[in-house]
Parts: sequence; structure tokens; C-alpha cells
Amino acid sequence: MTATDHHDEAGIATELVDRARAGDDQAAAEIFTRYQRGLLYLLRRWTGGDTELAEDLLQDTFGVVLERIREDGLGDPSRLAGFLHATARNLLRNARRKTLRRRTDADTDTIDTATDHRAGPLHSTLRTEEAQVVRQVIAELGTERDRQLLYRYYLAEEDKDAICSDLALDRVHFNRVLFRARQRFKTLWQSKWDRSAPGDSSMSREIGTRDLDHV
Amino acid sequence: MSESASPLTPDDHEVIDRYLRGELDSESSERFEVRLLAEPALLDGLETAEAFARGIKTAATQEMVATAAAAATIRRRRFAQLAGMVALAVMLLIPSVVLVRDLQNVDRELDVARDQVAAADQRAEEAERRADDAEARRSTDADRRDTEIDQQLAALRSENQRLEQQIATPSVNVPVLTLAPERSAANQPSQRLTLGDSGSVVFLLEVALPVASRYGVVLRQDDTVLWRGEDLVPDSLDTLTISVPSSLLRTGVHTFEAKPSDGSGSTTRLRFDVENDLAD
Repeated sequence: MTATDHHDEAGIATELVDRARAGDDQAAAEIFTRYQRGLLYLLRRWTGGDTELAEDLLQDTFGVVLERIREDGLGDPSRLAGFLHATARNLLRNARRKTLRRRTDADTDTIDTATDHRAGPLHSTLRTEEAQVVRQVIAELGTERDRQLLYRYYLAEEDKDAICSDLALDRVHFNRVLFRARQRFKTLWQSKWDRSAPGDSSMSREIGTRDLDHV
Repeated sequence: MSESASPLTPDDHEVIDRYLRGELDSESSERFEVRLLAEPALLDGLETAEAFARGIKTAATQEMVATAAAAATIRRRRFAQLAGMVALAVMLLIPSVVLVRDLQNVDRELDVARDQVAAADQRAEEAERRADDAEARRSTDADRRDTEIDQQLAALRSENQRLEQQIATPSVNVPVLTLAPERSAANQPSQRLTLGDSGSVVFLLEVALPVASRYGVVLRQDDTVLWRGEDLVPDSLDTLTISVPSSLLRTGVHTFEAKPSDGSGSTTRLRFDVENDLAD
């Protein structure tokens, strides 16, 4: 039985930590597989879309956590996710400090830091595809009111209660419109991109799996 | 799509939205992120919501860009059309301006020509008027001259008639004056002739000796030659007889000079004084 068969996060995490500390390399791989996607998402979000830095920090995070597990174990193994999260935040903080210190040493590093890591043909293609699918979703909406709801919520970033008041909606209906729109968006996206989730998480998963051997 | 089968609750969607909108406090945000690590369904929902929000913004941006581009295209087309219209207008305007200017020049030239024609007409009228006046004057002068001529002719005819009558009619009491050299040698004429309505005076000129066969005779009053006669032949009394119209003689001293025609001999000068109230 593998850890992924369990639905209790606390139990799963405890088991994985225990196995990894006992020298089970399969448990280390399972830890990586289970948490790398979410952790990479967060790292990319925290780094402003710097995928290269996020992947470096991802490897460093798992390296630090697995080493800690093997050497000392965790005080509360059931909180493995929290430990990964805190470790990643600390590594990111250290990386930023390092970047700030290096910023005065060499201009080339500053230039590298200032580079927009999100730019690229694939990124642009994904964004364009997202927009196309969104247009289709909005076109399929039943009422102009629902379209207004989405525009005001996502573009104008108006408060949900204010929108409900203006459009004479309750929050249940509001959430239903949002949920259905996003579900339709997800369905269309998956049919378009071979059941991949919206965003570029599938690519992230592939990268994370590829780099598992280096952890 | 995530492999997680556990559906998200409305609260999950609520917290996803609040996380994406930055509405969670740090503690709630951290709790949510820790959940993300262990709950693939929650991560799927988050990524879907984030991609959907991003897609709406991208679509709106693209539409704005497209709208702006379309507006820019329309503006460019309008500008191009306007520029084309302006260019066309300029292309039409320039020849029009040139044409109008030429027409204006032509008009001005026509005005000048009209003025010149009017001036010429005026001058022609003036000339015609002057010609008419001149013609009138000429006519008047001609009439006057005709009148004068007629009067002169009438006078001449009258005189001629009188003379003819005079010729045809025998004259009585015709004055006869004999002039001899010895009597006219003094400074003052010794003979004084008072003429009345006699018609003519007969002079008997006695030439000085030796007598030539022919004489040229000149009648003068002072330095004015009144009459000249050539090849006059003296009669048997060595006298030249000459009838002179009394109208030819005016008051004053007159002289007859009789000079031989062949140049021989001496010149005879005969002086006489005339008083003729009628001739004066």
C-alpha cells in the first residue's frame, strides 16, 4: 500500500516520514511526487513566475527536508506539508537576501534578476489559448447579467457583496455562476489540451518528476 | 485535470477567490497554501480559477488592443482618406487656383482691353467729333470762302463789267499829263495830279535825247513797282503814250523810268505827285 492510497493527510504524511527516515527511498520519491506540484506552484507564485528560481528552490526544499527527515526526523511528521511550506519560504527568503547582496556586486546578476522569466512563446501561447477559451465560456453564458458578474468581479475586481447588491443576486447564485463558468472553462481547457489542468501545471509536473533524481 | 476526486466545497471556492484576490490574512493564507500542498483538488481549483481570471483579463486586454488597433486603423484610414481628400483637394485646388488666377488675369486683361477699347472708342468718338467739328468748320470756312469767292467773283464780275462798260463806252474828260525831263529834274515833282472818277489817266512821256527805238518803262510809287512795260516804241514826237487806270495810282509821289531796251542812251525819270481819295 502506498501513501497515495490514504485520504488522511496527517496519516499519509506520518507514514511517509517514518518510511523515509527508515531509509526507504521509495518513500522519498512518494514525498516528492505528492508535494512537488503544489510546492512548485507556490514557489512560482512567490517568485513572480520565475520558473528557474522556483525549480531550484523546489530541489533545495526537498533536499533540506529529506535530509532533515533522514537525520533527525520531524517533530510532528503529520505536518510534513507545513514543514515543506516553511522550508520553501525560508529558502526563498535566503535566496532573496543573497540576490540583494549580489545586486551591488555585478550588474550582470541584476540584469538576470530583472529578466521577465514568464515571457516566452509557450507562455504567450498558453495565455492566448486561455483567453480564447474564456471568450467561449462567456459567449455560452445564458444572461447578460452573468457576463456582467464575471467582468465586474475579475476585471473591475469589485467586491462580491457589492456586485450581488447591484445585480440583485444572493451569494449562492453568485458562487454558482462563478463555479459553473470555471467548470466550463476547465472542461473546455481539458478537451483542448489533452486533459491537462488550466495553467501550466502539467509542464510543472513534468519538470518536477524529471528533476527528482537530483534531490 | 487533477487526479483528485474529492469535490471542492463552496467554502473552498470562496477561499480560493479570496486567496487570489489577496483578501486572506497571512495566517489564513499560509493555512491555505499548506492545504494546497496536500490537496490536489484544491490546487486544481486554484489553478482553474487563476487561469480563468487571467483569461478574462487577457481577453479583455486583447479586445482593448484590438479595439484600439481597429480605432487606430480607422483613424489611419480616415487620416489617409482625409489626406487623400486634402491631396485631391490640393491637386484640384492648385489648378483651380491657377485657373482662377489665370481667369483673373484674363479678366484683368479683358478689363484693361475693355478700358483700352473704351478709351479708343472715346478717342474715336472724340476724333469723330473733332472731325465733325473740323468738317463743320471746314464746311463753314468753305462756305465762307465760297461766299468770299462768290463775293470776289461778283466784285470781279462787277469790275469786269464796269471795265467792259468802260472799254465799250467812250471816256470823256480823261486827264492827260505830259511829263518832260526838264520839268522833273527838281527835287519836288512839278506836276500834281488830282484824280476823281476819271477811270484812267493818259501819260505822255517825253524821253530824253538821243531817242532810242524801244524803251522799257517802270512805274513806281516810292520803291514799289506798280507797272512794268517792255519794248515800248516812242511815237513820232519821241513820246511814249501810256494809259494808266486811276485805281492803280494812290496818293503820293510816283516815278516813270524809261530805259532804252538796247542799253544805249540815258534813262529818263519823270516824277509826279498824285492825290487820289478814291483809290486810298
